[in-house]
Amino acid sequence: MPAEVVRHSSPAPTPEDFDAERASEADASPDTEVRDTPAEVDAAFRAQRGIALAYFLVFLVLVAAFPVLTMTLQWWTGARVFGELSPGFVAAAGGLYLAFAVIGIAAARLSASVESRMLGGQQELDVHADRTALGGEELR
Amino acid sequence: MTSTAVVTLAVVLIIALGVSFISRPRGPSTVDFYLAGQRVGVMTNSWAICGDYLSAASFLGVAAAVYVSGLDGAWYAVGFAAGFVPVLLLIAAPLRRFGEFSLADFLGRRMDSDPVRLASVGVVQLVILCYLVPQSVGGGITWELLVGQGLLGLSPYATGVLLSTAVVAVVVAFGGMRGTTWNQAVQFLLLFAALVWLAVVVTADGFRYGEAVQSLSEAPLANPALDADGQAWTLTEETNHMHPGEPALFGEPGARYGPLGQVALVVTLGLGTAGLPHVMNRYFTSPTGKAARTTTVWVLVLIGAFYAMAIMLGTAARDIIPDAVAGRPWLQELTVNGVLHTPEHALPVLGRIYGEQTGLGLIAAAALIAAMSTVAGLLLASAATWGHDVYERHINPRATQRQAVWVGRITTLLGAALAAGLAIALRPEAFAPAMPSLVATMVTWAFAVAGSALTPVLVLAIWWHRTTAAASLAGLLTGALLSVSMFLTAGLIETVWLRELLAAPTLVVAPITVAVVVLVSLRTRPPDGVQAHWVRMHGTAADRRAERMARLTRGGVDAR
Repeated sequence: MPAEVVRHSSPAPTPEDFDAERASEADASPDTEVRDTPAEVDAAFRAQRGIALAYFLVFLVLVAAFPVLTMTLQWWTGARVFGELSPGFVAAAGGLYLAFAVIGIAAARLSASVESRMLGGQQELDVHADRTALGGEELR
Repeated sequence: MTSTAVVTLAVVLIIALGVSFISRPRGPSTVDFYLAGQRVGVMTNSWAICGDYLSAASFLGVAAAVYVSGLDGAWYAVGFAAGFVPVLLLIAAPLRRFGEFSLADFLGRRMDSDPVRLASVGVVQLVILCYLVPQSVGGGITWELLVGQGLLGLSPYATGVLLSTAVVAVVVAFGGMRGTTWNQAVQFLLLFAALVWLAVVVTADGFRYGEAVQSLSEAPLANPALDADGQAWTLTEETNHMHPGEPALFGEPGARYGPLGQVALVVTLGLGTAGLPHVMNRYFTSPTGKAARTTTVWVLVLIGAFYAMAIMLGTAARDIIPDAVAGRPWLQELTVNGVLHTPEHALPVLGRIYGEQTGLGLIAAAALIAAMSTVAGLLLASAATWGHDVYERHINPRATQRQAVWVGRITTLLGAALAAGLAIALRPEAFAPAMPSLVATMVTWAFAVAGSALTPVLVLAIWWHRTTAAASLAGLLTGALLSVSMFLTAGLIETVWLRELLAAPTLVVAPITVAVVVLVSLRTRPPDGVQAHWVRMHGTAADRRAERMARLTRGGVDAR
């Protein structure tokens, strides 16, 4: 499968911000560092889409649950569970923000993990090939 | 003017101008002016996004909405906070990985279409205007309360509007995104510190959250309203929209919204956040898509804590102020039977009760800062669309970097003048009887347009490769026109549930926009090069390269 070279259109950081020697080292092999194949990206995209939809569904259920509980469950507004506050008040005054943060942390961790597992495989192959060509560092 | 007011204003000015001077752009580069060189770190960017997002509507408006409507006022906070969940799940990382300068630029490039870019510019400007005016109003209200006198023959309100907007315009025009970023980050920390101080002193004085809610819920919720002659204020009981016939209570839902109204408001605010140009443009300043996503996680944590405190303090104000009126003539002037005429005064009044002039100065400074940091983000987003998307892309494609930056600066100043003029024309008294929390209500309009027009098109452009330019154009126009006509007609409707739905129309309009985009896309041809866009937007190659460069840079520094 042909490897696709991706060039970011946004301007790169200015060279004077980097140590000149190391920057030139980084620029020496740009093509081997920046590739993702369309097939890899498509597979990762599908996985990410599944994660986004699943967590978005959880988020929607959380938001929609409040008025449903208000209308159907007397306990939701009548009981006292936390410092004389009703479950509904606790949810609106703090509980929902905590739930949003938990959803965010879980989704971000899962997305980052999926990306690192599914993308960048070509780079690892290139690094392996480079090391082998440089004198068998892999054998040490 | 008291010495406290002078000190407060001097501190705000020194912070705004000093930070901007220290972090000013180093050269005439559009990447530096609009995107701060795309090297804003995760924590700095999360503070800056919070400073950008937590406007006068959040600082004054959420506490005011809780003060006036009890539990139903908390729905503003829930909606504002919920907005970053869709941003994190659906937009932050792919948007940053695609790059570009602004939302309009992203949509134009993704669809390979100038009409889409120009239509996006129009919608973005509408959102910015709806958001900008209430921030200037917030600046005017704060000046009125803090200083109480005008300059050069102007009213205190007009003086506050003009001065706060002018300072921000100068900061943005000459500090660019770099100066604005550091200003917003520092300003958020000050804003947060002010809320923490108030929460601590209120609690230390014996305020107990649960007991206060229970005690406030023992009597029907009533708020000041002008009598039929418009001469005298009287307390009027709120209608219970959840259980008609029963009294509305502070600690129970129904004082402002029925079940549909709650969901409509949260969906409008939640989806609207993902289409706010001044917030989304900040993601282009992140070094990588992964950093943009991590930034959003921090934003969720920080704004959750912020809103939880704002709701608590709105409750505290309702509980504490009636007992504090005795012996405080200044407070008697602001209240009817212990209830404030203007709910936006809740936090400044609490500040003055607990910290005298210094406390008032601190809260007023925080309110001014909240309005100014959001105005800064809005002006910069406006400058990016006019200066980059219109001038550089269409009017003068051969513009030098210096010319493009100067166009951005000039459009910043023009946008500020327009916002200040509209804020003075729309004095808050003109709205107060109809809209209990003016600042938060006006901001809802911006969220409605953004959530109805921009967010659905953005999400489909990122996640559905079949989306076409014609469909995006149709979606943008449908969403914008429908949402504007719905919230403008809401005030004329008598039926409560219908009025609530029209006032926060995204629940209805966003699905229509999605349907329009899907139907038109299926009948038209997608742009060429979608696969390349997909690899750029959903791949991590650019992230890996940026991370490697950062590692090498750190290695270089460590080796010295």
